[in-house]
Amino acid sequence: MSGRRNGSIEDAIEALYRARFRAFVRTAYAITGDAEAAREVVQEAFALALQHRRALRRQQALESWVWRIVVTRSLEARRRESRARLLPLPGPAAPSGVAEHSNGHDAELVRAVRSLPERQRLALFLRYYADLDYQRIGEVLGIADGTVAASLNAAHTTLKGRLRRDT
Amino acid sequence: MTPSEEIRAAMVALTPTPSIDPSWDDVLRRVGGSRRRRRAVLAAVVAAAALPALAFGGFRLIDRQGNDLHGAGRSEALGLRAEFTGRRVRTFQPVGGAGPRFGGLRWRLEVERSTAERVSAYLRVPMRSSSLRLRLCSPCGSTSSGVVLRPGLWLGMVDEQRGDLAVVEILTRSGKLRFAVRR
Repeated sequence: MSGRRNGSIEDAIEALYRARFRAFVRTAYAITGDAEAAREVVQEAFALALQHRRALRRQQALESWVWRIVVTRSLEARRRESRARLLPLPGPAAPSGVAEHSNGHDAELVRAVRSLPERQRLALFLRYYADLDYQRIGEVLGIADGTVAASLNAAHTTLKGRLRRDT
Repeated sequence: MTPSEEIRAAMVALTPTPSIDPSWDDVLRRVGGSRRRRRAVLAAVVAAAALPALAFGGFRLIDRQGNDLHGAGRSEALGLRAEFTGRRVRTFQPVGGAGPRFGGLRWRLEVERSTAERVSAYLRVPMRSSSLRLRLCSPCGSTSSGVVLRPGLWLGMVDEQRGDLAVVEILTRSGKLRFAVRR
């Protein structure tokens, strides 16, 4: 994100959009379970960022700000649509590309992720789908770095146990 | 592969990136739409604030001056004497001039009676093919007042050519007192 130094905040927002669109959509998709809802959330989040660009002084705050909006709106969308699923279930109806694992293995992992507390799930999504570091995850979720680490450790422990049982 | 790497690989493989292409133009359109909505809301607020001077919605202010209206009548047989005063409040007309005029009437009615009979009062406004009958008070005290807001109320009351703009009817069990309202 070097656009801010050379250009306006609008340039920085656009650069962030172009560089990280897929990560935003993927994370939103993991939360909502709906590709179209994920797209809407991301598009709206960047529209909001443009509208509030004057308030976004620091470039570093920009990405965290957009992530916060994406996560919050994704959670709202999921609740609004009353979608029970947190991840697209593998199987015939799942999007292509999830069939690298056996269905039983994927289903077990999905159930394991579903069973996690919300903060742990979101920390996992932001870590693996958004590729954010602990500090950034903490900014997005409004928690301390140490809490992020603890949440991820707890999530890992749960998932490792499930995966071992499965294999 | 360590357990953490295994989890990462499983998570990444589990949820593919939806095949959606970015569209910055769509983001810009949303910002534009939002600005237009904000402008529309602002315009509506300004219009509402300027209501007395300008117009309301699809209606145009055609008369802001209140016109004093007056009428009085008495009936020895009924033991009644009544005086009606009114003032037109702002009058609007649909933009383009078609349709009924919308206006209001602030009124006051004083009734003196020599009996304890119940009294009701109505205002009858002549319309194109019929008349509009509005209840003013029932039962009426010695002094009653109020505001009537009705579409079409002024259709018959803005006719400059006609002397009698409306008729007040005071009803009792024994009979009816009628008198005209004029400017």
